Amino acid sequence: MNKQFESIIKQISSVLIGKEPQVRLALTCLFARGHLLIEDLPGIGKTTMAKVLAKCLGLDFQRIQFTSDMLPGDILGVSIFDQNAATFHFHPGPIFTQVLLADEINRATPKTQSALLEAMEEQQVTTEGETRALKQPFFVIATQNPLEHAGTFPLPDSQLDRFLMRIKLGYPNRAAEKRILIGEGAQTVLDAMGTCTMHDAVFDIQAKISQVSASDKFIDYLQDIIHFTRTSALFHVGLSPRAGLALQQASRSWAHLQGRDYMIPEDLQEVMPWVVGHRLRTRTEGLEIPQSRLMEIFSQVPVPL
Amino acid sequence: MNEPYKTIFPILTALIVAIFPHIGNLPVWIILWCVVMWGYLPLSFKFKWPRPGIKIRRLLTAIGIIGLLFTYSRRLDQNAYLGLLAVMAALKPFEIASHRDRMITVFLAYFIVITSLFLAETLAITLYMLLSVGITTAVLIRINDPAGRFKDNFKLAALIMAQAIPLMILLFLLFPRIEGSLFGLSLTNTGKSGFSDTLAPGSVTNLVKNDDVAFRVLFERSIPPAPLLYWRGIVFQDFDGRKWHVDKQTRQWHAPPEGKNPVSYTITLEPHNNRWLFALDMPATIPRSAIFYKDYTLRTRRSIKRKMRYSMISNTRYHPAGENGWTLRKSIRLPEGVNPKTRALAARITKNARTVDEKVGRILDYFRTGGFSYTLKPPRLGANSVDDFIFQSKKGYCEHYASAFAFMLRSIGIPARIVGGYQGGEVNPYADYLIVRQSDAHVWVEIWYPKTGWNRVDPTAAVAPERISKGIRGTLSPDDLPGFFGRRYLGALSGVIEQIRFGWDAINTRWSALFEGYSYSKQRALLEKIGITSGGLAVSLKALLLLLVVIGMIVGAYAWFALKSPCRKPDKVKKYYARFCKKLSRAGLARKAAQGPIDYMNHVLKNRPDLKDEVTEITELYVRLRYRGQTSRSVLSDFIQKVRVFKPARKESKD
Repeated sequence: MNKQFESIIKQISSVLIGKEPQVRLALTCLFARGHLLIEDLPGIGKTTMAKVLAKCLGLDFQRIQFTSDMLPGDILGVSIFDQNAATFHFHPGPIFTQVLLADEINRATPKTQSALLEAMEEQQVTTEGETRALKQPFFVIATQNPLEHAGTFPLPDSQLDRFLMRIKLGYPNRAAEKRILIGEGAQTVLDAMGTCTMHDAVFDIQAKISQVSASDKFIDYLQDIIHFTRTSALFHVGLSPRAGLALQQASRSWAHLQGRDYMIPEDLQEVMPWVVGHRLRTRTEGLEIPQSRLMEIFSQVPVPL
Repeated sequence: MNEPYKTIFPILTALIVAIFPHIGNLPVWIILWCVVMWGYLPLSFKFKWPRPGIKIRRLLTAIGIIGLLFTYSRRLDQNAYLGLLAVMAALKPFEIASHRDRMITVFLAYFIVITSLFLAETLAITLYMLLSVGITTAVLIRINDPAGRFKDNFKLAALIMAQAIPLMILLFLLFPRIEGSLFGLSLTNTGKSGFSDTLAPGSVTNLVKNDDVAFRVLFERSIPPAPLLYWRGIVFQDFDGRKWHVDKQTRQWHAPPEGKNPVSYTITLEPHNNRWLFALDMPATIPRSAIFYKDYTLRTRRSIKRKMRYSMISNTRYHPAGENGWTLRKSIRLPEGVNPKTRALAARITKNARTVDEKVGRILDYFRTGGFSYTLKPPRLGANSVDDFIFQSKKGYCEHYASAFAFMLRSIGIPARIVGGYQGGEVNPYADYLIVRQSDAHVWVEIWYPKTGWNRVDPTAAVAPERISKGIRGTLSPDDLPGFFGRRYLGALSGVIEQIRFGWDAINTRWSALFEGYSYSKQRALLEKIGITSGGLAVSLKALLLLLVVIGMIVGAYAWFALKSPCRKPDKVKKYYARFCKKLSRAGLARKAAQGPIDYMNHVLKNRPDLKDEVTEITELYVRLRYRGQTSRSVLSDFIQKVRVFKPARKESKD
């Protein structure tokens, strides 16, 4: 086990009570330089999670509440004419941060969504012909509400693909909820919490993760999985090469989190439901596949010896 | 700091093993040189002494070469080559810095191994060379895989050598056999002992003290009885008063004398640095590469420096043709004035005898009854050696009797000469051939009878008839025998030693018949059998080349396919991990297809905590091999070993 990781997770879990597995996945995603999509009901703790992650990693944090009347400029920033200087002056939008919480992303119009998603992919913002690089590291934690169908613009598959992982937080269990109700893990704890790591350390971890080696056998297994999604009658479309890379990158990060510098099939199995869940749909109804069902389906793919 | 232990020391070992058989052959200073250089290197690592830099190494090289020039300036033979190799091999390890240096040094060791063939081509040397090549190959593997285990290095070396066997057999059968010695060099160190061209009192006695094998004889049919086993080699014609000499003017002769009772046999003659060929009295055929002389002896054109095999036929009964007067006159010539008492004695005891037979009989009777004894330790004789022998010491070995007998015969006008060679031999009970040793050396007398020509008369037979019937070992008392015969009196052990000696000799003889006996002519016969009838050397080279090309193509094709599809390669990791899973599934813990190794391990451990150590170890090794990229042989063999010994017992039922 990677001690650095463990201490971060312990600290975050003290605020986000009962959400350790999700914290692990979120960290795995962020250290793999991926963006995270959290899909759950309001009030479950999505915002708290994003805040805790940002604070714990010692990164800047901004939050955007997406609404249907939002324009790209509200995210990226606008140029305003400065009368004294007689020039346009750029006022950077909330995107110029390190951890960006994009709340209820599916409530914005596709035009606004795509402004954010372009920045996510390119790690830079282009407005009025001028390109500005974003601060590094740059993570987007987006949330979306599955129930609120009215007045939403669901993210198309191609844009969902930009997110490395999609996780669900779920209700806390009874014991955890009791602690929440008692008052542990409240805002006060968050305020009192110090940073666990400096943001240089994030670069270090990212660099180490990219050095995690993929053996032939591991790649064989990964390819077997990808091939399975493309040939199986269960899926509408198979995984794209980008999805394959995402799987590998997430596995790398997970392996590093486990304190290894090489990947084993278990790493892939751990991250797979969260990496492929928003990328695969059933062939017949075009519906998403629940995570438990996904694990069942993938247990048909044997691990090569 | 681990570096020298991983590579330099194995290289030193290979060099030392390679040079070991030459210890007796190298001058003392080169051996000391090697010991100092090879000893200094490990010590320099241990005590952090400085190692010589380039200047000192150059100086040492210069000193070594000057030393070699002084030592070998007279003769530039293979020993000089060996000396150069040894001197340089001693310095080379100091220079090892890169992988390339290591490789060169290992190949130097191979060169030194080859030079063992200068020594001999016996089974023992061949076996030692095999060992040495094995060690050197293991070291070669070692320096390319320093992390591996020695055991694996040796295993791979053995495998490589085993794979080379077909090629070795092919090269042996088809590589053009060279008539003569390897590299065209002579084996100077092997001409040990044997007859010289003079015979003085004591010269045979000295020879007898040597237990070396003179030659081995394989008879086509049964071995003739001991009294017929006179191995003729040299004829001593001239007497100068003390020594007998070979007649240098003896001419070549066209054909051996006629005879009866032919015996066919093959002799394997050990090198003796002279030209004599030994043959059963009387040779009836002339072997190839031999010359027949008028005194019925056979000689080669050059002195014999390598083992030599020749097949011949001899007639045990023979009728020599007439002899010319010139030879007969030479055969009664004696120097004036020597041994006057013996001359008088000979005249006296043959006074009334008329025929040659009678005279010869009288003299033999005199030896038989005159109180003479047969001993290997005769007293020293004075200027009139024959007089001293007959009238004073009366103790002698065959050369004393033959010399006195021939002298007496000549003094009364009967042509006589001394023949040198061997008498008898030991039968090897394991292979039914005869071993004739230097200790069987013998001289006897040939007398010219006007009617029947030259005939063998052995005065030793008159004095000590058991010498002829039982051989030297049955004749002399233990005290009289030289040291090496003492082995026979070690009690029960001596019998065992004798058996081992014969067994070893039989194996060696079979070996040399098989490998050294595979001559040029036999190779040609083989080539003819497989359809190559003409052309000799060039064709056999071509055939060899063609076969090598074919083998190369097969190996190349195999390698190409193997590289092209790695799946075809037997995957040992897969095989043994599957075996491991099968063993566990028999114990009721089957692996699910989608279970990774760690999940499976955890699953097993949850159910069977008693298997923790083994399962954890095996899984860890498997993960190392499969996912960590640690594919070294040692990890693999460790993994295989652990899976092999892994025996999960069925879980005991809980009730």
